[in-house]
Amino acid sequence: MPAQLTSLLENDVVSRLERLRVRPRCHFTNRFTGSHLARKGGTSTDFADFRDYVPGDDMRFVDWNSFARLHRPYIKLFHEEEITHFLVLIDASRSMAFEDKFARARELAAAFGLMALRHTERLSIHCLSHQPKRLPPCTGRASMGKLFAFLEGLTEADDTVPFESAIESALEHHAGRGVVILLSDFLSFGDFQRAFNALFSAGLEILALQILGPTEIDPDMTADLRLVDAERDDRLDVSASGDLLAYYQEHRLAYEESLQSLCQSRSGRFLSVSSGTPLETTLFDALRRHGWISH
Amino acid sequence: MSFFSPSAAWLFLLALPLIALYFLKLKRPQVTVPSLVLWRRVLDDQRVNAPFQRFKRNLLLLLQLLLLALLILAAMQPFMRGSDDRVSRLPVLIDCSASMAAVERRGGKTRLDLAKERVNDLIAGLLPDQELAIISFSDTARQRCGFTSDRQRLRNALEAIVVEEVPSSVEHGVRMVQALGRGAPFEEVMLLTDGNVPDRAALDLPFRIQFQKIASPAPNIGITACRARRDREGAWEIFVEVVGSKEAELSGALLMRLANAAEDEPLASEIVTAKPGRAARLLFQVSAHERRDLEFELIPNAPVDALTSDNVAAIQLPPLRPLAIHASESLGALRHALQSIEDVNLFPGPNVSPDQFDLVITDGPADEAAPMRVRFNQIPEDLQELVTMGEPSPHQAIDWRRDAPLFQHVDFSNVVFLDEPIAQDLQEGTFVNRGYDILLHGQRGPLLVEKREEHALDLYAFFHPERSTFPYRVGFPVFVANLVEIARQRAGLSEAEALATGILPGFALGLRNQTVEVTLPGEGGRVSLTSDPSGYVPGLSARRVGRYRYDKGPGEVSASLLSAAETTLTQVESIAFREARVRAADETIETDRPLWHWLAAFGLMVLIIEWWAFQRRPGGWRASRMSS
Repeated sequence: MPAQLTSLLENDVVSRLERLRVRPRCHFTNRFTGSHLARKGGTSTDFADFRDYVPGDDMRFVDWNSFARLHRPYIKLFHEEEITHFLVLIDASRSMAFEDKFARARELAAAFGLMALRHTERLSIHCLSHQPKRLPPCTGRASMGKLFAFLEGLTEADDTVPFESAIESALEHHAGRGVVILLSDFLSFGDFQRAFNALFSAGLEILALQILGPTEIDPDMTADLRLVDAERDDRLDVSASGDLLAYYQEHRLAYEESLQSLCQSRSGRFLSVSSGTPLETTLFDALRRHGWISH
Repeated sequence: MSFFSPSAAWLFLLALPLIALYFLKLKRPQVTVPSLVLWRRVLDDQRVNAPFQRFKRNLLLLLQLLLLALLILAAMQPFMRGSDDRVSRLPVLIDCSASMAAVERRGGKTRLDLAKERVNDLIAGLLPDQELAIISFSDTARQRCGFTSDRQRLRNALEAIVVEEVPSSVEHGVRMVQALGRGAPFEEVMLLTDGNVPDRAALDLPFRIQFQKIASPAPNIGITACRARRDREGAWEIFVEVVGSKEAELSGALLMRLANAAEDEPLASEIVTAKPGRAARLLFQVSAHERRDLEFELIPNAPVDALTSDNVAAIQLPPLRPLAIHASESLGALRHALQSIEDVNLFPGPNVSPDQFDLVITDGPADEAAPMRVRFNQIPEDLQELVTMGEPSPHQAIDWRRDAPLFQHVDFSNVVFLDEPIAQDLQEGTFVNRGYDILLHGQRGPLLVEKREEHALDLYAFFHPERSTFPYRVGFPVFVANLVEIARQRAGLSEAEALATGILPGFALGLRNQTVEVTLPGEGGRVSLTSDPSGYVPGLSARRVGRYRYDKGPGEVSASLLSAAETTLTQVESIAFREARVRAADETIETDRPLWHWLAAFGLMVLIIEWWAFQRRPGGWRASRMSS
């Protein structure tokens, strides 16, 4: 039996992920040549279009076959392939310690990082906490060991930093356009609008993945309780009733819609998953169906 | 709805300390959750803060208040009024006659069971100030339980009532209730019966009667009479009467068997059909030369026969033998007439005297025990004050009981008697009051009287036949033949019949103060009877159909017949008392219904819910403590 590459992902998951890649919509790329097609024309081998020849164009791009048939010169246009920077932000606040949400965030970060490195993208990872940990930008398959070692060494924090502050702190160490994959439960009193604005203005396409525990999605509360906030130590008395849980569901869905709206208005995407769902289902079913990753 | 104990409403004040204690002692279990972001949004929702939702949050308090309210309401003893007039004492008369054993379907509940259910409902609904008395009646009445509100005692008394296979007499029951009313007055009586009671009762009613009629049972067919008569050839002719209830034409097979016979093969069988309200009669013949214990069984064709106890009749036929008559030798004419009658052994004579004679005819002071005795020229001791013998002078009879069997085809016109009895008071009532019926009147006093007792018939003739012209008349041998026929009947030699339940006839044991043990049918146990100083054993109360075994005397006696009224299951709609007619009420009586046990049961349910709600843990978060 072959040894596991990492404790975060099964070997068969790794092998399936190697055939997949993240599909950004905005093509925020960098000047370095990479594997992502840029919006502008380029010098790759991927044909894009024809246009009329104008004096001064490089004669090497004239389509001589067309010229022979039509007796008019046309220039062949090609896509440009540029590198994309993948920034993975992992929320390490205390709320992520519940129901294996942080563990699921690490697994997903490993999966996204694996896909990025496999396709020679630049990858950096930031753990959002009071004392942030950071994987400096790296690229290529050779960095996979570094990636796994970094993620395996991550633990959830005992303290909590406001979300927008943590984001701004992470962006201070980041340079380059690309995609930011935000792994969090988004159960914070922080200013998400400000955080998303900062990410978008940094040239990052936001892929926000909300990870909730099963009981956060469907709480089973049947008595009078005093709820204690794990992050802020606040207390709230609630008495269970059928209607209260129904209202909870309404507000949870409305909260997710507001997060989705924040993302969409910044050309980003939002998806909520459960930490109770198997990783394979999340990766190869939910993310693929929503077009986040593909072959 | 009313409350029997409204003062218990003060207990509602307990709600105040309950609420205070609830809020003082309320300790919510703490559950750490990832974030309160969503919960704060939920609790800020206007709908969650609506008054009703706020109310619902304190579910435990609500349940406790509800439980307290239910317990206090139960303590206030609420009850639903059954009628405007509340009854504090109610005697319940329950019919337990044979027809109360009728069922609607095979294996179904009897009328008595249904009546018991109604009384059980009454007992369950008794309030503390209400009392019931239970009296059962059939042909007699029995107080099962005096006025009490003790439910267990009442239920035990009710349970002890069983069907008695005898007719019903509502008079006895009402008389018993009247006697009960002398000690504890009441205004109303409940009568529970199937309606198979006499429609008249010669009684005044000092109270109201609620006549509750139990639902009609299935049709019934049964044997109501079984008599045997000896024909001229010396065989027994047995008449069996079968009657069905009035609703339908019913049929069945009537089988005649030898009782206690080893083989099950019937001696004879007939198909019988009873038209509604009419009796069907069948005739069977058997030899009379030996004793026969016969049993008739009716097997109904209908799938359901309401009563099974009336499907059997048992009759005992004695063997043919000569009538043993002792006649004083001084009664020459009479002995001469007797000698000309067949199947008569006359004593004194050549034959050996039996232990007991069937008929004793004497003109002297002889005192042989016999079922029938005729004494000529004798005045019984208890009539000697009333009747004296005058000087011998010829005179004639002026009247006689022409319908008496003794005087059938006998004419006393122009018969001259030399003995003239003189009565001090010729009013008939004077003799009747002493137990004597005057059969033959002389000019100044009675010439022939009879005294019927249960076990003997005594005829006293205040003349001597030899001193009259009677032996020379055509009517004299007829008179003697009538005498012999009556003696045969009393000896059971010419007629026999199946005995009905009620009172079995007594018998002459011949031994004084002897104890006779009788084994009752089924599991009825044993009873003892004691013969009187004359050696006569009194009758036995037979409450059930079956065989009664005497350890002395007649041996085995069967009581098998019910009254025809019980078999036809006739139901009356009303009973006419002297001054009022009581109509049957079809609907069930509405009595006060206590509600406390419902409230207590509901309270227990609330307590369980409250306990469950209190104990139930917040499963979702309990399982999702911090993973680290």
